[in-house]
Amino acid sequence: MGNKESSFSEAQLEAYQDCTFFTRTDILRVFDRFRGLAPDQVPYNMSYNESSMVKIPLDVLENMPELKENPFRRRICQVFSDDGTGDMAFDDFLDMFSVFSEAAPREIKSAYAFKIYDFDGDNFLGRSDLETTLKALTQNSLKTEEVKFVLDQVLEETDLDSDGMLSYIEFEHVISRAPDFLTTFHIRI
Amino acid sequence: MNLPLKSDIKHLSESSLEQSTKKVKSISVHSSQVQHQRKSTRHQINLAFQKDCDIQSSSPDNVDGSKYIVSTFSSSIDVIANDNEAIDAETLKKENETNDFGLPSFKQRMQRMQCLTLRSFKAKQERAQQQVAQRVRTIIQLSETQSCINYTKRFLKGIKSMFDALIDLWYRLNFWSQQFREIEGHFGIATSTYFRFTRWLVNLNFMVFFLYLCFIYIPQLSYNNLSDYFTVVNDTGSGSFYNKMVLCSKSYKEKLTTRRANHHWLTFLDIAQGTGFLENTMLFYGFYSNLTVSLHNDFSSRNVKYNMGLGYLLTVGISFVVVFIMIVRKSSTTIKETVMDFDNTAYPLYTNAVFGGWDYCINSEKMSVYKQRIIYNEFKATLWEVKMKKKRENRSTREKSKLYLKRLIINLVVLALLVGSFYTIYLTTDYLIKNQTENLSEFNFLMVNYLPSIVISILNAIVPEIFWALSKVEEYSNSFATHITIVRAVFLRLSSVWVLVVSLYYRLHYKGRKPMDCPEENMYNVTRCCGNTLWESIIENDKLERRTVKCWESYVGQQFYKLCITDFMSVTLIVLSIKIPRRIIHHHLQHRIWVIKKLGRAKFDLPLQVLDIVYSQTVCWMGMFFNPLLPALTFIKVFYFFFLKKFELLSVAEAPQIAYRASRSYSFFQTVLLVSFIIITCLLGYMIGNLKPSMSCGPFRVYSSDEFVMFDVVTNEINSWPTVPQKIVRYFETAAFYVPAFLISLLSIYYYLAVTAGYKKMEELLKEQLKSEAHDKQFLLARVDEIIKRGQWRQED
Repeated sequence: MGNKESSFSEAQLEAYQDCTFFTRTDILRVFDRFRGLAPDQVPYNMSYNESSMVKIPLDVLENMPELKENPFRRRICQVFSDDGTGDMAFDDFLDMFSVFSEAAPREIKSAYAFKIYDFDGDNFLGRSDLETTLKALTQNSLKTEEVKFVLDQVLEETDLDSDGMLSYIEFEHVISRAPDFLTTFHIRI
Repeated sequence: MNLPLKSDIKHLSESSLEQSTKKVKSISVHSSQVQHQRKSTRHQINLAFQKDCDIQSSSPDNVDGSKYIVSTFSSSIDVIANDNEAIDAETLKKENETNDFGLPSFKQRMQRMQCLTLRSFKAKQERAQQQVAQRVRTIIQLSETQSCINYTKRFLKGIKSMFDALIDLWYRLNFWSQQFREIEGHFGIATSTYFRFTRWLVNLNFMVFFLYLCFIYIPQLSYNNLSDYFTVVNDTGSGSFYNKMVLCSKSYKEKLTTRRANHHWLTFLDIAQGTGFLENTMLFYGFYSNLTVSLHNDFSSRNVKYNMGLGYLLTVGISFVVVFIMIVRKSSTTIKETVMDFDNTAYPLYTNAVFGGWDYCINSEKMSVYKQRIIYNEFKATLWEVKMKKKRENRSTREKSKLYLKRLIINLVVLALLVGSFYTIYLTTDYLIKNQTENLSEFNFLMVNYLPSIVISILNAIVPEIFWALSKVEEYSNSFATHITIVRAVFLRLSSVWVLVVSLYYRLHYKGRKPMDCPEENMYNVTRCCGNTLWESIIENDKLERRTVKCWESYVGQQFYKLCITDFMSVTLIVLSIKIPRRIIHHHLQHRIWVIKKLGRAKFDLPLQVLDIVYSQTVCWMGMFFNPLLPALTFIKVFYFFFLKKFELLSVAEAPQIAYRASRSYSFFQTVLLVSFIIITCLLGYMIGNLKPSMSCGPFRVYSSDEFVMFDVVTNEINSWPTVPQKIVRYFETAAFYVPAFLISLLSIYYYLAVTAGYKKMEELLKEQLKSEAHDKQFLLARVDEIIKRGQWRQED
């Protein structure tokens, strides 16, 4: 590690380490990536204010190699950004990758996954949300009746109060029994 | 966005768990509470069918909402009730009574259900915010005062940061992360579990190697090189047996060291077979001496002794224990998921596919297109399975009986294949032992020696492919066909090593065929009398010549050494000579020749690759006792395999077509490893416990007379301890310890099983309750509608 002149003060790094699931070197590496996206906008030394004010626009973020191929990239950026538009400051950026790291527990990941898949933002995963998710996954290649069949099955498996929508509790309940979720909801940076 | 503090997030999750358990507990409490409040037969109907819970959310901090719910509803419901006189009191009373079982009536259940989702979520949020504020306050307080607690906290923080720095350093050293990024980006996480498994095995081998280094290699080397600092005290012994042993050892050493001329070809032979000069190195068991090395120090009065035999045995035992603990620890986290998987009724197949389907790690365009195709295929396959299931249920009896007959035949064929393979291995091992004379030319001797290993490798490569083809005929569902093929392949691979060992054991451990004329005089016939196992070989004129195996442990060790080398060579050769040419041919000719295009590139089939690695590891464990350098060799080999397989995956083979579930794969790998480990341990334990050690070599020479087994080195050591510790250890051997311990462990297992069954039952009951609450909600909504309509109709009257 050495005596590299750090971009953050000690207190900042401590706070970041407390609030995220990253170690020191990880935080600095994530900052390097953040800065690499827009070197002229992001200063080398970040103060407290700047870390939440200086934002990188959505279209630059969408072209990041880690997010480029993800069908949900736009929604991810919107969820993690402060104002919901998708422009992310460094705080949001760090938060996003911290949630996606390996160390984040299941509860955090499922809470954010719920928000990501909730495309219309009504705190419920309705049929339209599920349909959008499925179509994004398969690039519209499934036929209509197949989509309908899969959605019916999903609702049957998860909807406990039969209201045709998934609330957060139902989502979390079914995700805790889905073993793949934790391994696939993970981005390495 | 305020970054939530990590510990508060933990509180959040814990509090949600608490909420749900509290809900369970308070169901019964609540029913009794509400019963007291019931005044009339017209009861409170749940108005929370209105999805917005403004009534509750406008209230201040009310965490325990049960009483509040009741009071609010009684007020709002009485309003409705007053308007509708014509409510059928009887039916309402019946609907709202408590059940006979003391469970709450569905009105109470409705009240519990109301706002379950939104309200509890908001309550959790409020509580989390309160906790954050509380924490900030305490931090400010702490920073202001300079109390003792503050110092302790800072000290602990310092230690924690030191740990973090160490973990950081470890991750830096772990240069694999770059490799993993590449693999995951291109092929997704499921394939990378195979590489994670390989990396974990490398770490395991390194640990075992480190143990061996400290306790076996260094003491043995110290004898050879540092005799200035150490005096070597032989295990004292006297008598004719001891003299015989010394004589045999000397002759064995001489035979090894006075080898033939230093010809390149002969040296190569020796390296390939592990004989000659290689036999007299640290690679084989026979090199290690049965010495007790003691520290020669003028200043210390005590002698520090190191009993080589004891150290050897204990190191092997401890490394097995360490490996076992690591495997169990790794698999306990994944066994949960496996158990969940098998409970098919509860496994959310479609939800898992939708929400766990996309691999967020993928960052190459080619792979994302590929992954979408895989997901699409998976959905198609699941839908097809549903159709097949329907078709299967509609099979006529005649078709069913035909199918069962087919399956029975195929199972018999599989069994015949397995038995045939085992018999082949046994025959080749027999052939090997029978031809141990040196009358064959050098090259033939080499071929004969390698014959069992080559046969095993060929069988391991060919027979699983046959199993794949057979499983397609059997018309099982896709996942079941995969599983059964894997089980059969595992059985084949593990058992081939096992059959080799058993046939060696059978051949080398002749009972009742000791050499007859071995007098205890000075002229001790070392050719015939050293050693306690025999092999027979027929030399000229059909005369049966019996010669003893001087050092059977080294001999067995040589077989494992050959297995290890064959494994290494075969994997490398297959990649070089089969897969690379196939890729090149495919690349150039695929457009012209249809067959080549159909065959495609080599497939990176995950389960079979895993079986390869597990087989290497099994050979290592089995041979660890006879070949102390084998962990080091296996460490290098598995490390090399990682990069070889990575090269194969990225450049030569095609990614797997079937969507492998990452978690299921990892637990499968661990299970296979654990099964092979247990079998190996049992076999090895039996061999060590039952076979006599050799007289001419190894650390257990002194125990090679008829009355001893290798394990006696431990018993002798215990016997030399003072009385009290000895008595304690002896106690552990008696029945007075075993019987109560056994009973207690049985009881605790039964207790845990009963508790688990109880939890399962409770889970089912709760699920039923949730479902029925939802239905009640619908029913009561309909009732409210009806009542309102009746009321309006009445008003119009």
